[in-house]
Formats: sequence, C-alpha cells, structure tokens
Amino acid sequence: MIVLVLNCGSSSLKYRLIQMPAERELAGGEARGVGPPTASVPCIVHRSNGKRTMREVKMPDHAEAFQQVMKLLLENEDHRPDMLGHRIVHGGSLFTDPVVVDGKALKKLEKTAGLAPLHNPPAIELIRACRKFYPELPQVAVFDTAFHATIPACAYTYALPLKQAARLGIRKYGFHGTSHQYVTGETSRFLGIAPERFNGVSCHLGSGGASLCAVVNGKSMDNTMGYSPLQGLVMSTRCGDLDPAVVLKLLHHTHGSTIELEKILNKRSGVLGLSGDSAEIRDVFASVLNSSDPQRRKSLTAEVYLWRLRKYLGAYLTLVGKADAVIFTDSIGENVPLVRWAVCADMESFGLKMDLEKNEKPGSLPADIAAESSMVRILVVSTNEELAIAQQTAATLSANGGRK
Amino acid sequence: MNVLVFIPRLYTLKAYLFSADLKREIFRSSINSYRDCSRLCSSLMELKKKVLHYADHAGSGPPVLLAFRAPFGGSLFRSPQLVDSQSIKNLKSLVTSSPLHLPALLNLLRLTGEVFKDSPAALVFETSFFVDLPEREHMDALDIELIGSLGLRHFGYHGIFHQAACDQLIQQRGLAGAAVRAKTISICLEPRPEVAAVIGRRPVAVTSGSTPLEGLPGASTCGELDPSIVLALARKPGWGPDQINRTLTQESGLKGLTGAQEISLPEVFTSSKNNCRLAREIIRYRILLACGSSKAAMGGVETILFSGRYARLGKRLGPWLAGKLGTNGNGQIGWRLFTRPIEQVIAENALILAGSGKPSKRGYSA
Repeated sequence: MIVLVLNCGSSSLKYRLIQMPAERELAGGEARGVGPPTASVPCIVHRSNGKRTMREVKMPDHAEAFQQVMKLLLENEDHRPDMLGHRIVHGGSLFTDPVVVDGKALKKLEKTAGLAPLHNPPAIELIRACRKFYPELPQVAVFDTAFHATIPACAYTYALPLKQAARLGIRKYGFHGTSHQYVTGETSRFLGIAPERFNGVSCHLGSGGASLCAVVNGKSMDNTMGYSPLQGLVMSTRCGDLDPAVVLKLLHHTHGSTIELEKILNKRSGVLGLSGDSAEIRDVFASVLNSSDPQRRKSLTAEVYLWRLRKYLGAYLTLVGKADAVIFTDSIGENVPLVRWAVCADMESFGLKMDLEKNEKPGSLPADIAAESSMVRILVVSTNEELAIAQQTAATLSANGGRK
Repeated sequence: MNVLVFIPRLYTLKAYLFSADLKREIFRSSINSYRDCSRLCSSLMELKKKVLHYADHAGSGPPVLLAFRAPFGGSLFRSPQLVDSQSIKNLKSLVTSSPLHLPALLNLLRLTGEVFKDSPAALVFETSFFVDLPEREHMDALDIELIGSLGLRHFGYHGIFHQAACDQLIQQRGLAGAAVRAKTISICLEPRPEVAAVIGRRPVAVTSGSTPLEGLPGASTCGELDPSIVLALARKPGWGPDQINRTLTQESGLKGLTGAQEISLPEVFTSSKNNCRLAREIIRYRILLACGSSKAAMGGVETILFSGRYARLGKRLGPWLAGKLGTNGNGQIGWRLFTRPIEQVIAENALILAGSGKPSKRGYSA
C-alpha cells in the first residue's frame, strides 16, 4: 500500500510517497512557486532512488502543481499511490480526528477556511483537484490541531466574555499536533512506557515555527500556540506572546491597517525583529559564539528566545507533575545542542540533569541525553510528520473499510 | 509626623490618615469623581479640615506627610521620591506611557500642593521594584526599532506589595549574605493579580507586560491572549479599537467568564455557583503555570508569598501550589501570607523616605 502525503503551503506543495506498513520513503519533493508569477522560477524539486532532479514548470495553482507532481511520480510504474493523505493546518472544533474526505467532509472542511486563511484554502482547493483528477484515490485529511482536542477547558478558554468568544470561535486550538503526537509515541516506545501512560513535555523547535506541548497520559493537555500559530514562543518571524494592549497600540501605529499589523506580528517580529538581519536563530547563535565582540542585539535575541522557552518548559513540567521525559525535536530541537543545554541548565529542581557529552553528540536518534542520575529523561527524537500522516491515513482508511 | 496616604483608583480617591508610628489608622475617607477638578478641590478642602480635626483629637497634631500611590513611574523612578519640580517634570514626561492614570495623579499633586501647603509629599511607585528587570524578561519579540519608538517594555504593576512582602520575609527570617538569594514566588492577589519571581530582593520575572492587561486574568481584564485574537476582533464589522479595548479591559476576566456584573476573586473561589467553576479553574490554572515559569526563571523555589487585598486566598492556594511545585526534586516549599494593607505599606515607605521611619516587621501570618 502506497500513501502520497501532501503538505500544502501558501505557495508550495511538499509531497512524500511512503510505502506502508514498511514505512519506506519511495520518493518526495517540493513544488515551489505555486500561484501567480514571481521573480523566482517555479519548479519541482524531486527526490527518488537517491537522485535529486529539478524540473521547471508553470503552476498557477495547487491543482496544477498536484497534476505535475503526479506526472513526475507516474514516470516510475512502482510509484503509483493507493491513497492520499493531506496535512491540514487547522481543523477548528469541527475535526478532532483524521477524516476520510467525502462530499460531506469536504463541505465541513470548507467551514474551516477562515481559521487559517493562508493554509486551509489552498489545501481545500487541492483536495477538490484530487477528487476531480483522481476520483479513484481515497483521501484522508489529517489535522495539526486534532491531537490538541483533549486540552481541557481551563487551558483552552481565554478570559473573554464566554458567549462572544464562543460565537466567534475564539479558543485555544494548538498546533504542531501531528509532530507532538508522533514524537511522544516514539519516546514511549523508546522508554518502554505504554503511550497512554506517558507524561512529559514535547518541544517542537523548528526553524520557522515552534511550540511546546504538555502531555499527560499520552494526551495533549496544553500547547504554547493558541487560537492561531502566532501565540507562545519566540519564532523566526512571529512574535509569540504579546500584551493585547500592545497589539492595540500597534493597530493605532498602523493607522488601523490589520494587513500591515498582521505583517508586523507574523513576518517582521520574532528572531528577525530582534536581531535585525536574520530570521534564523542558528545564525544568531553563530554570531554570538564566533565573534569576540558580539553585537548586543544578537546576544539579546538569543537570550529572549531561550528565556521564553525555558519559562514555558518550567510551566509545563509543573503542569505535568511527575514527568517521564522532555523531548526535543525538529530542526532546532534535533540539531542545536546549545538550545537544549541552555534550556535544561540549572533545572535540577524539575528533575532534569543533562549529560553534556551526550548532548553534544547524541548519535543516532532517538537518543537519551540525560545524565544517569536525572529523574526525568531528556530525549532527542526525529520528527517525521509525513510518516505520521501516512500512518494515520492508512489507519483511518482501514478503520473505514477503505471507503473512498 | 502623621501620614496622609492617597490611593487614586480609576474612579475614586481613597485617603487614609495614619499616626506617625503607623500603629493607628486615625481615619479614612473616599472621594468620588476625583478626576473632576473643581469637585476635587472642594473635597480636598473638606478632607484637610477632617485631617486637622482628627489629628488634633487623636493628640498627634500636625504636621502631616502626604504619600501618594503612583501606578506608573517608568524607568525614571527607581524608588520612592519626594514631590518637587524635578519629579513633577519627570512624571509629565511619562504621561504618554500611562495616559489613563498619570494626568489624574498630576492634577491631584497640584491640588494637594495648594490645599496642604508646606506639607512634604512623597510618591511611592508600583513599577519601581521592576525597573531593573532583566532585559530578556522585559523585552517583547518585536522589531527593536519599533520597541524603541513606542517605548515598550515590561513592568510589574504591584511592586509595592511584592517588595514589602519580600523585604519582610528577609527581615523576619533574619536572612543575610547568601541567604538573601532566597528564591521566592510572590503572588499579589488584587483585582488584577500578578505573579513575580524574586531572588532575594531582585525580581527576575513577572506576569504583567508593557501594561497590566497582560498576564493573569483580572476582575474584568482578559490577561494573556493570542495576539491574533485582537486582529480577528479588529476585522469584525463594527469593531473599532475602542470597542476592543472596552471588551478586553471592562467586560472580560472573571466578569466575562461568569457573566456576573461584578465579581471578585474571593467570590469566585468560594461560590458554589456553576458559572464560577470554570472561572475558578482558569485562574488557578494560570497561576499554576505562572508559578512553574517563575520556578524555571529562578532554578527552583523556596517560598511562596501571598499579598494584596485577597492575600488570605493563599490559604487555599498555598498548600496546593507548594505540592505541585515540589515534585521532581525541588525541596520543601513554604508559603506565607503578607496581610498588611497597601496604604500602610505606602505610609511606611513615605516615612522612611522622609527620614522618620524604619521598616516594619509586622504583617505576616503563616
């Protein structure tokens, strides 16, 4: 059984062809420059059998990008997918589990478009195209918010007028759920704990977005992201937590332009806003570590980034209580020992003690980098959202008797 | 010297007269609509008559030291200050950062100066305690140039309580030297509650932001929100900045969650009504997370202090929080209540500034 996993960005389409249940990647790649023409040339970067090729093609929309990807895949007879798994960023309160996409589900899905205006509409457009061009392929939608459906009311409710908030759909949804769920499962297996008994904190630290998730008995209890992926940690270009009065002040500053304000908060803040010239925290660390006289602005960026991360880790470890592990994953979490060290240093009062050598060289993942005496294990785990989506797609279809 | 303490709130001005030894509150008074200049002037004249009468009756007589609670002093006021032309000039320069409170305070200072001629006056600031908050704590992750041009930085807004509670903990326990690095979580239970992490006498983290709106939910204030929510509200037809501001500051928090017209923290904690249950769970949950963050900021915690007008709720929260924070290797955590009222703390601060007082050791119950 072969699953084609599709991850639709605002101007890109990432894909991964995975053979199940062997969990073997057959091919993968990314269609770039989807949408109206820009200065960069639209192309598909394709990986297969250890080879990487690039093909220039016009892709005015995601439907066309999908057809071009299928054309590429079908050049190899063994690369014909049996089913499609879609990553959907926001399922709102309507979707708390993966769903087989039929006409009814598609209609319901359309109602979530406004919750993630950059991501959900192209993903829905893609699903429609898949139904039109490949009606024989069953499709499953897997939601980034679904894992967080177990967050209790005291954590998902903002202190706003209740009825108004409910009417406007304002509540914490949480994001990165597919990744948090996947690494939590991997960690449980690694530690020999039943997944439904695992307690800990998962730190998904990507180079773009980042979030922490408190997990109790295998279920999400809280996530640093909220109503949108803007809340929480300092991210590459997103501000994370911000005083609501400051947002109002900024609205005044932009003369009431919500478009401009959204740009400020989503595209010009975070690491980029603080450092002034780079949205990549690894550049900032390199600049601080490799310069004998680092700019104050750079060291401040690193301090603010790490400080907020540390405070959230403390909050969630307190919430979890007796934790089994703290998990670090995604590009920063897996590859930047400095971040793991800075966040876990002087945290013995939470039961965390790191083995510094193991942290520097964790070896093959998953790896336990905690000291022997640490009460709570510290793990570095590779996330694989595409594989998680493939697993959930296969499982959902199997549970539905392969329904199209 | 007797001390007359002024506490300006949003709509009312509270005044308290204390004897010089602070052992007696001689009388208290409340002035409504004090933002109305002409009414305030006549109310202050009345107040002066009462002050003279009661002080004379109590045998403590004039002169009187005036002490004002100042809600905001920015980075310019690092400690209590005597009112003089320079402090007035500095306060005026901060008006844009605190437009709701400072103009009224400046007006009050001017009129009390006219009514209580020759009485020295002191300003005691809620923000002074937080002036030296570490940069990593007081910075938002915004464009630094924007932060500079808008004058954004985090403060705590209950510094008078936090400082008094931490000072007395240190004095009462006779701590000195290394012990002054005691790791304390200071929880101020006021209508806008606030949690601060304090090492010795130095705050290292606080829940409030550039304004007191950020952080824990208050009686009618929303506390922490996803910034996108403000954006989403701004995009709703008919929702302008004033409507959003009104909703977030006057219709949210405990009021918004319970649907009650007016409700206090103790009512939420003691009520068996259904509409209070969720509000209670939310506030407890947010306090727990704030305490966990504070513990991480300090690398551990030894004592939890409760202060503010609802400090006694600490009896409910203290054992629970100490238990939650004590798992996974933190040592034993103690908790204490600091029950002195704000007016007495302000009076004491003013007397010390005027050179005729010394810190009190009273005010704790365990």
